[in-house]
Amino acid sequence: MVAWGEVIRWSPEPLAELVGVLNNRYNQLIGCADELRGTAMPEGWSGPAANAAAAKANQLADDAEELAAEGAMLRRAAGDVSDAITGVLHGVTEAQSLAAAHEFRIDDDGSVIDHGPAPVCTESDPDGSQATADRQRIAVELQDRVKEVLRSAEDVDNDFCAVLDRILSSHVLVPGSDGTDLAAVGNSGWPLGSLSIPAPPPTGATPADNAAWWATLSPNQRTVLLHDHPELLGNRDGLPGDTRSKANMARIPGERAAIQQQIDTANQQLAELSNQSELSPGAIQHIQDEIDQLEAKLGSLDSIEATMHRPGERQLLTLDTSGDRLKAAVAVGNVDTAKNVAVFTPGFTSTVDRSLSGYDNDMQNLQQHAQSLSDRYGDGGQVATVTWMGYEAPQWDGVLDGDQSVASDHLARVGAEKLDGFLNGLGASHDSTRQPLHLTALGHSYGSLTTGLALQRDTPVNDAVVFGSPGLDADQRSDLKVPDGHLFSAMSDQDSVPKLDVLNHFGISPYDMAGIDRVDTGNAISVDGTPLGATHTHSEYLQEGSTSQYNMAAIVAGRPDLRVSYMPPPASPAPQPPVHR
Amino acid sequence: MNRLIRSTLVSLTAASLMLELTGCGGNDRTESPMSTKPNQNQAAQQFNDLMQRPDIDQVTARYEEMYIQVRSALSVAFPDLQWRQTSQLTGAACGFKYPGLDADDEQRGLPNWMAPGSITDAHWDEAVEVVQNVARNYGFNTVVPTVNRPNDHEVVFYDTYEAELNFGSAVNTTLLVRTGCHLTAEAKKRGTPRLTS
Repeated sequence: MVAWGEVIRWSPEPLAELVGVLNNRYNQLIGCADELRGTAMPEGWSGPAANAAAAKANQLADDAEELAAEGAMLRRAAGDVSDAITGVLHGVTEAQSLAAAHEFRIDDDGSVIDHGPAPVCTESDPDGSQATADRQRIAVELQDRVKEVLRSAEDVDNDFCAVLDRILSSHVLVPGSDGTDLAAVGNSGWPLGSLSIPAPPPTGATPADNAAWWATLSPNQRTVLLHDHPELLGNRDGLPGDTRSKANMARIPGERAAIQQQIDTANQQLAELSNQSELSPGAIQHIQDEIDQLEAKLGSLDSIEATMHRPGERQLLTLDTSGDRLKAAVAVGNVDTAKNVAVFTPGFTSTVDRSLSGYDNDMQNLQQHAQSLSDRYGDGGQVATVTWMGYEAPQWDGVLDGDQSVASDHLARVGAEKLDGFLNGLGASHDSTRQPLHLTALGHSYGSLTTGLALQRDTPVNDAVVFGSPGLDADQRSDLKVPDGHLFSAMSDQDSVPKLDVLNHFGISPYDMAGIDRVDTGNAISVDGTPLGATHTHSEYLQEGSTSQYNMAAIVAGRPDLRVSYMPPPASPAPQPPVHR
Repeated sequence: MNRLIRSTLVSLTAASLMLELTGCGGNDRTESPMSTKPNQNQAAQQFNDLMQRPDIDQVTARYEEMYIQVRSALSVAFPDLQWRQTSQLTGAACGFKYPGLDADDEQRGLPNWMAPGSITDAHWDEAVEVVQNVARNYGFNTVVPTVNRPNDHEVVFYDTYEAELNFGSAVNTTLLVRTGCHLTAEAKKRGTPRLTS
């Protein structure tokens, strides 16, 4: 088992130099070995001595072939290990930088030591609990990174040992290989010498684990994985958005073909059933429903491709064709380089095939306006906005169907776990590159329930807005792990969705919960008192030119202080009792 | 509360939600706001309406021209303003207002521009007039002040295509242009919606 103190002292240079040395030896070996077979039986020499000499020469040539193969194997392995070490050391550097930035250190035994000052109590964090929680989160991330670096180092070490063992046991040549000349023989050791790439962390790994694993890979290894195994990368929270997007775009043709094949099979089954003398309507309907579902998935892929091809930078951060409905997340902008990232979770009836283009329009609009506000108020940080449809939102046909219903929080709970991973993935990825991140979660309608549940776990979210919300499954503000003064709600005057949860089925309404600041959706500040930019219904919160959108853009741009707060209408005077004369 | 009453109330809640979200409870923008289920008649009508507009490339070129003139006019009136581009052109489908037009439609955000430094409160109205004088030549006749407080101003101009020219000043001075919905050049040339062609 390699120790942290050993790994941080690894160096790729000696092995890189060895590659050059082995190359020279290999070339020398090739130069003289073929001569050996050629001179084994000189022309005109025959008889027992000649035979004995030939046998000996051939034996020497066999030995030389084995040596060449060993040399090639070692040459390749040395090159790969040298490359892998650069990756592992990159993981070390990232972990050490992250530690130093937050006043932690990593000791030689791999333990993470907090040598920062005690958390300070502030107005927004009166008991210091928020600061303490932040430090604990960083400590856990550092421990994950140390673990991943050591796992990769162990993998590299074991692989190299396996290659060396084969060389030492002189069993390099593949049995039955036709080594007719030494160059070919030498190259037979080539594929055997290549190392495996450290496997990704197993199921259940945290985004920090994934980010740490990615940090230990060399650029070559990353390129190989992206080309050969994009399915391992596209939905892996903690990896850079650029990598996820390239991987997911590469996966589309294969996913499309797989779905089409399932449709063809189902159509075949349908035809067979229809030809039977006794029709089975139930079975036929079942297959038809399956075909409809698969067609919707194809439509979702069409929608994704159309959206990704619109002008401007976009990233396909999630592509999941499993389950009943396809799940996806599309960013407008670049989540890796943007400082201000907003993740929008829509709600009831949302599907990728029917809703992605509409929400993408909203996100492009929001991104452009938030960027303008970011420039205007001085921050200038780049903005990226994400339509996150990474969960299966409830649909019409599930309304009266138990936990599939919009009236149940089940689908929100399933979604919240995925949203939580996605949000933490953005944080872990930004930690890797030391890029500052201001993360805003936006939740609409049932999507605000999903968001509310996700925010009851630890995430790097700095600001959150819930709008048209039926509830957050929370009973008090402290259930929601968003810094004080940074959780906002919005409710338009004709939106009755927030008032539907009469039983507080989804917890205390966010509009009644102390500690959530409501923003205005009505008239913006105008010089002549005319109501301007008001929005009224459940679906208009992101409408261009509205006060609601302005508020969200200000919050996304990191300036919630610029929001227009909701002012309740003045109370009507109480009716005066009649005066009796 | 017994289980029967509770489950009945839950079902009623779900049913109310259905009514609200189909627009029966309010003035929603679309028939079903969170999903653009194409209605062929509506799509055909909208396509025909958009045929009366310039295509997205034509209107982008026109707004680019206006944009250059706005920045120039402001630089003349306020010589300290040094404009720089802060974002790239982006485009998107036209959104929930135009369901069913597939890839035939587009709405674009032109690059944002910013000049370091602010326009003072005393000169804000003058600056708005400078922009308005250019904007009205391009059909941006609707003027909506959206933010007006000390050292913090924003005004938005609209044309008949619902395009937006957004001008603001606080720490820095900013410009933003976003088009309304237009057909792509290819769709306008085709002349009929994709679904029926």
